[in-house]
Amino acid sequence: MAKLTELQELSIELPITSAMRQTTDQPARWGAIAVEAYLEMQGFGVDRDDCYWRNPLEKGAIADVMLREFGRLECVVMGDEANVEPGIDRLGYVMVVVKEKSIAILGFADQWPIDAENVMSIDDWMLWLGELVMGSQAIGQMPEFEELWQDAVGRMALVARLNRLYREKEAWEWRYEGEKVLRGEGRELAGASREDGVNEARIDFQDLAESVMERLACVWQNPNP
Amino acid sequence: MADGNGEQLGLNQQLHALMDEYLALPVGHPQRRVLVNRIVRSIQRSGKLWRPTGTDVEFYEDALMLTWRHFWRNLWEQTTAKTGAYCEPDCAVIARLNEHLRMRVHDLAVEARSEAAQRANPRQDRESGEWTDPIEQVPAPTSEPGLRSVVEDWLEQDETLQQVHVRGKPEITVTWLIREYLLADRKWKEVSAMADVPISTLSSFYDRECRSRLQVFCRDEGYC
Repeated sequence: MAKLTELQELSIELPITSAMRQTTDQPARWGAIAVEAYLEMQGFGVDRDDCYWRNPLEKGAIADVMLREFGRLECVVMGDEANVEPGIDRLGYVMVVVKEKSIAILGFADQWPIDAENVMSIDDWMLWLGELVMGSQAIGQMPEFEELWQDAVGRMALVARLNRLYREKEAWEWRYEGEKVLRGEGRELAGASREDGVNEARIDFQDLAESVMERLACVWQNPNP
Repeated sequence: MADGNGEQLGLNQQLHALMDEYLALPVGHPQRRVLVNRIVRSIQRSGKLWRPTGTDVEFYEDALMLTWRHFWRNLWEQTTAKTGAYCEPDCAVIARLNEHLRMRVHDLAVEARSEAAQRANPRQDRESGEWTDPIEQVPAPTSEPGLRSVVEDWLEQDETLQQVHVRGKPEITVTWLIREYLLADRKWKEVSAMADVPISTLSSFYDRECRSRLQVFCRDEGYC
C-alpha cells in the first residue's frame, strides 16, 4: 500500500556487525540477523536454532527468521527478489535494503510475489502482528473452531490468511473466499462421494468461514485489547 | 551554539513526549510498538548520534548494535509497566546514548588491542628470510564441497530414502528431490517442470520429508 519513499522514511537501520559478517557472507542473511535483533528489541521472541539457513545443508538463497509463536518469515533484499525461493510455510516477507555498513528494515509483505502495492511499512507490520495476536486469541477461545488448526502456529497462519481477506474483500465475499481458505488448509471434503454430499460439505465450510470471519472482524474493528 | 542547544532540547522533549504516549497505553497495546519505531527513527534521523574517528571507526558498528540493545532494555520492561532509566523525565536521551556508545567503542578497541598483543608474533624463516604469521597457517574451516559429497554418499547408501515419495509419483522420492533440488541447486520452478508436480506439492514434501531427515543426518554426522 505504501510507496517506496514512504517506506524509506519509516524504515529503521541497524548496523552490520563483525559477528554478522563472520556468520555468513550472504547479504540476505545479514538482513535476517538484523531482523532478528529488531524483533527482539520490539519484545518478540526468535528461535535461531529453528531457522533453516543456519543449517549448513541449506541452500544459499534461504534467509529465514523464526518468529516465536507466529511462524517463519523470509528476509528479502530489495532488488534481489528473483533469487528468493518463496517457501510455502512463510508467514510473510521482510524487505530490507543492504547498505555498506547497515541494514535498513523497509517493510513487510504477507504474500508472494511482492510488489509495491502489497508491502506495508514497518509501523503497519507491527500493527499487523498485533492484529494476528488478537485474532488468534479470539478464535482460540471458541471450541467450535478447534478443528481448524493443529497448533498455535497453525492457528496464526490461518488468522493471517483471513486477515488478508478482511483487508482485501468485501464482507459479502467472506463466506465464499473464506471457504477457499479453510479448504486450502488441506482438509478434505467429508462424504464427498455424491454431488449433494459435496454441496453439503461446502455449505458447512461456508457457514464456518462466515462465523470465523464475523468473530475476527469484530475484534479487528474494535482494536482495544 | 545556542541554536544547537535549542535543537537538542527540542529533540529531547520530543522523545519524552513519545515515551509518555507509550506509557499511557495499556501493556500489550499494538500502538506501543509503533511508538518504539517512532522513538528510534527520531534518534536515527536527528544526526546527533556520536561517530568515532580515526582507527576507532572499525568498532563503530559493533558498538552501535550493543548500544541499541542497551537502549531497548533500559527504556522499559516489555511485559510490565516498569520504566527504565531513559524514561526518567530528567534524562537527556541522546547524551546518555552517546556516552554509552563512546564507552562501547572504547571497550572494543581496548579488547582488540589486547587480543592483538596476545597473538603469536610473526616469525622469520631462516633460509628464505620471509615473515610468516602463524595465524595464516591455520587451515580454513571445511568448506561445503566436503559436506556435499557426504550427503551424496548418504543418498547412495540409504535405501529407505527411496521408499518415501510424493503421493501418486513413486519416482519423486526423498533421494530424487534432495539430489535435484538441493545438490543440483535448482529452483523450485525447474524441479517442478522436471517432476511434473506443482511447486506447492514439492515444496511441502521437501519441508515434511526431506528437511527433517537432512537435519538429523547433519546432526548425526556432527556438522551442526
